[in-house]
Amino acid sequence: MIKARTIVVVWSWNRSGLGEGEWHIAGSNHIEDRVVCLDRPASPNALDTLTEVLTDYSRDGGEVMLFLHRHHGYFQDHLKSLIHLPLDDSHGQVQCFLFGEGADEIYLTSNARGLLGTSGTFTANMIFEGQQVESSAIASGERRELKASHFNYVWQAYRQALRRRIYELKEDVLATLAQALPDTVFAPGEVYQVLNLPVNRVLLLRLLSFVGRIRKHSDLAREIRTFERNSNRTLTFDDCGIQLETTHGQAAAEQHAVLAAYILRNVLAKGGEVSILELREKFEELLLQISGLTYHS
Amino acid sequence: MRIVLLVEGGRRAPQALFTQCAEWGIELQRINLEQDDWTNELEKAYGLMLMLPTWGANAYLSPVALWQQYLQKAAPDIRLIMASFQSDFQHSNHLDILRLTDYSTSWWEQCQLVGHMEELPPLIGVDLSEKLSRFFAGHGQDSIVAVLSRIRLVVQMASRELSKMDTPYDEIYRDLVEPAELAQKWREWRNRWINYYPLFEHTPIATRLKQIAKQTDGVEAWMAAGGKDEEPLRDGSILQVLNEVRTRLQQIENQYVVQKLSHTYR
Repeated sequence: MIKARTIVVVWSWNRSGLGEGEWHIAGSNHIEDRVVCLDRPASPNALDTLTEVLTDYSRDGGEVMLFLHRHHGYFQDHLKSLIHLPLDDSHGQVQCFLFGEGADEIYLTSNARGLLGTSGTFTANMIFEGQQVESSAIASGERRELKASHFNYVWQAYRQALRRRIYELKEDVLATLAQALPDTVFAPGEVYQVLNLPVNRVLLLRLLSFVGRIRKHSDLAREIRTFERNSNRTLTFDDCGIQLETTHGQAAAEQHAVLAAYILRNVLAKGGEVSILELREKFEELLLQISGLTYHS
Repeated sequence: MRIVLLVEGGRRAPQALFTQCAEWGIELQRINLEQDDWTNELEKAYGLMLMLPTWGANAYLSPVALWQQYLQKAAPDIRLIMASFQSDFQHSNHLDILRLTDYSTSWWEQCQLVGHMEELPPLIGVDLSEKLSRFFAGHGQDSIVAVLSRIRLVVQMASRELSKMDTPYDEIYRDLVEPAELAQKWREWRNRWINYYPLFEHTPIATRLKQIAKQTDGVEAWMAAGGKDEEPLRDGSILQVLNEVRTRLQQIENQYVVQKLSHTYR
């Protein structure tokens, strides 16, 4: 039996957009798939509504991805409560993501096969090399149908999002530290000095986010969001440990904790020596716990 | 010194890689794929090294299969070396950048020539060979060639009416060009093009794609205006550009997408 897939997007649909409601996905292979548009700023009532929505759409093994817009007042703590809903085994997997205030693959402006356009729509106009190009995820406005390729892309991209982001962090950290080769071991505090160079600022922020050391509304949070906007790329790991636990199990969460502790103690502080090979091994052990492809073609 | 060409692929190779290679009697030479003279270097090269995965369009990419395909024809007797930070990459031509001192001069002798290379293991990164196939595939919204063919067909018909039939252009424009909504079709083409073009920056087709980009820039204004101006159609310049672009795309398709040709050129 094909499991229903639902993407729930809590965003500014009402003010000047398409309004709340349900959109289906074009094509006979997608009869069960849908995108649900909600416009509820964070509040206890909104969380109750979202709990009902997630419970409802995940029935009979249905899989749900919930996207919460940061400007609606959502942050990591909201994810924790929603991801840990006490649902029985008949319910499918529920994944929750924060988006906005940066660049995310769900946006058409970040990704040509994204879903969200500008001002509460599924359509965006972009400037490429001085030319205006329009991108739309709508297959039929009349029938309220979205293009299957856009839905599938976003679904896949977010399913793989963590694995991909961790892999890219690994590659970028190793490429930076490899500049010191043939030395493969750094004295305590030495790596932090390298990361503290202006040229490595983004990498430092990504590592801080990975280990959960960037607080909401802090200067660092604003700084990394600016880098995200400028690069059209998601760099933050807001909810990494929790997401790993819910989507890939306890072992993945534990491996994340091991790597995060190593980074916190030795890479971002003067706790001990850093061995590039050991760091790579810890990253690879974590990636081994995260099933699926890193990229889809 | 043996020369090995280096494709850094949007990344920065550590200096130690150059130093270590020199100790093995290898001179690493960076090449610029946007300039077509890099192909001249292949003749005297002992190998070509790719830093993997490459980086482009905000993703890590795997161009190895395209390089393998290209070199098998262009230089089958050289070595395709895959350098990466991946520890579990099982292939005799893989160089683990973090363990350079584990290799020796004799390792180079044992590397397989690209003409006889064993099958590649699964690689991390967007598979560009797959992407290129989709670029040419005639179905779905990914096909860029289908859109270009539709535009070219309109231009070809309008050109024929104008030059062979002596039909006044305002009539051709009203009956054929305007209803074809060239500006919209062209936006669609550009839209798709920008999805693909940056992906292939570090592949052997980079030069040809750059040439196509440059050529299509030349017809941009005419297309954006919906083909209102008669002159570029009368002097044949628009059709010429579209024909040349088509030829270049055909060459790429023939060379790299050997199977499942689902789109026919018209």
